[in-house]
Amino acid sequence: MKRSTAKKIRDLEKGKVFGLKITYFFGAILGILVLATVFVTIETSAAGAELAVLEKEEALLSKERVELKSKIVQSTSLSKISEAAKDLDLKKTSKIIYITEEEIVAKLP
Amino acid sequence: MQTRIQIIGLGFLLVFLAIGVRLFYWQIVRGKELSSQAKVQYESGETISAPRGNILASDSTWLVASGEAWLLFAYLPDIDDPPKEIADKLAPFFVVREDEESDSEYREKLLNEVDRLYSLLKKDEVVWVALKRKLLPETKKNIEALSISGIGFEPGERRVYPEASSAAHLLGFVGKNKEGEDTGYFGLEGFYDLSLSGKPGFLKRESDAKGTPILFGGSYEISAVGGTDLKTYIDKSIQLTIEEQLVDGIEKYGAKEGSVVVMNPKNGAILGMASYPSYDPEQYSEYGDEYFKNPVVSSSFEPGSVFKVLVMSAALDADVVEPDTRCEICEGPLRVDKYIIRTWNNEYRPDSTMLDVIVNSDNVGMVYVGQTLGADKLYDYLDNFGIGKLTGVDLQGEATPRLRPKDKWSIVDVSTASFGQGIAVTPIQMIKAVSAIANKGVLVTPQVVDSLQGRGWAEDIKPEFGERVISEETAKVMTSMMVEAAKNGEAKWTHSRGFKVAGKTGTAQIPVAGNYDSEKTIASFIGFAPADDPEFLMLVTLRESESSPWASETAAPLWYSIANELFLYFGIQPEN
Repeated sequence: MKRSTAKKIRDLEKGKVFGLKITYFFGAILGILVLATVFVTIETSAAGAELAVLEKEEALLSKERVELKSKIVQSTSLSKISEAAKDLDLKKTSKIIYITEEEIVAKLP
Repeated sequence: MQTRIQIIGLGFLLVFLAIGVRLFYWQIVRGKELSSQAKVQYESGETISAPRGNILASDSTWLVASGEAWLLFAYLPDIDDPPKEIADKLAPFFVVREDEESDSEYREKLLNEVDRLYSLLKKDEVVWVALKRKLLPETKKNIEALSISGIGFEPGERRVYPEASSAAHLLGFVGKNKEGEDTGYFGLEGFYDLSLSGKPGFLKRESDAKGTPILFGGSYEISAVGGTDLKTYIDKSIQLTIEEQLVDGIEKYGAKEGSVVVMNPKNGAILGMASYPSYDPEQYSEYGDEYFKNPVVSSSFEPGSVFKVLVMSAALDADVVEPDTRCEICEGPLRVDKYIIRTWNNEYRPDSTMLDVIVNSDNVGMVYVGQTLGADKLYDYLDNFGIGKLTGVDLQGEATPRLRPKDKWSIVDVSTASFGQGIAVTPIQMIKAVSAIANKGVLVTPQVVDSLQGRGWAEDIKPEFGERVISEETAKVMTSMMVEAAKNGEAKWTHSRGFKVAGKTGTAQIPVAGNYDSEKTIASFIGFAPADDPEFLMLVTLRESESSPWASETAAPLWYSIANELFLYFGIQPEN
């Protein structure tokens, strides 16, 4: 009788310990999950902020690219180059003289 | 005590009931509406722009570029200043003062603009209104400096023309379609509209109050596809040269209109194409519709004597005549049915050879050629030369006059067509047909675009060769006859000595109400050089020149004036 009671008490204690272990286990998992959620949230919001910065930078570079392209387009305009040449008093060739090779004018001995 | 507890309990019950009813109202009755309002706050959507493709010259510099522009709008609820004051401030940015404009004219334009803006700003039924499109970045900066509340900008796009109105007919312009979208019209913009147009993308995602993206939130993106660039065969130096020379020529000879086309006959590459009067594609809305049609591909004309080279080629190829065959009917004016056919100068040379007929541009001699060839063969050859058919040039708006049906050719039709009257062609058809002579008898399709270029890819557009129209030998003989015509024909005075040019003048009368105008003519000159191995084939046409009706005194000197510059440009040397 005594033995069986003692056994019962041991079983109960065992059960309590097991219950405690389970609680700690789930508590730990919950803790990890909470921490992971906090960590991921911080990371993603940081990444979001970084993305926003990069997008701003991209917009700025795109704007700069458009401005530079506009400058190149204007500077490669042949009409403008022609006008500049006129301003510099450069003139088109109007009379061409072609030289024939009929006679040898100098000959080595 | 129990009653108090019951009253408190009832109070709680009523409060919970009230809260429940209120929650039901917010969550169920107005749930959808509020949810969508919240979505607007945290979800942002933006269009990703896709710029229209550029049009490039043969050296990869820009003929048309896609540039930055802004749309100025007013959000009416946010406007604080009186609309009149805002209109007064903005109007000067939109009105350009022309050089020759008087103060009163400028003032009137300015007042009209103020009225326009005022009427837009006073609209009652709208909250958002567009005030001006296609603003330059500098104008945007200047307007921003005024800090007018309720005025904002949206990014847009405009076409930039670094060479101003150069090659306007060839390039076309970008306007708005019925849906208000940018669409290409005429020329390359019209023909390649689908390739040039980009497909805008869209980005939708959740973001916080500061606009920082929430990466956990839902998002989706449709990528933008930029428009394809067109790399053309257009050589800017040639283009500017022919435009400058054409304008000078039109002024010099008092012509009403004129066109010049330069093509490489070996591959059909259009190196330059100019017509006058022209228009400014950036300000296309200020011009009438009649300016937009490219005369080179859309307008037909009776070609006159330049057409003789095609008929003679046909007769030579069909072996019905040879260069030394003598004309049997060239002793005087010729009666055909009820018409009398004369030579252009009323001079007649009995026993003219076929070479003489071409050199002297003898109409009677050509009637002999045409009649000897016969209607059926003439029709077949003209059809093979591409007369009466679209050339296939990659420009929008190409038109073609019909060739009379084969079984409907009378003796009069054959006779007049032999010297280029009573038949109509477009300049581009004429260029294509003569390219067969310059290209050893094989037709080549005129082509403006060399390749399509996207991001990281390029697609070459191969030259399109047609069928053989005449034999290589015939092409050679005809070329030598054209060389003689250029050297010793009526335009010999303007011939560039030493250079082997194969050419032919053409003076055609203009049909008016079933008859021909007695004074007005269309003068043209078509030729290629160097004759044996041509670098270029060029057609010059001048309409209704006042200085002289004859091509030998107008179109021919203009052709040689341009050719002399092209000789230098291509490094073509005189023969000896």
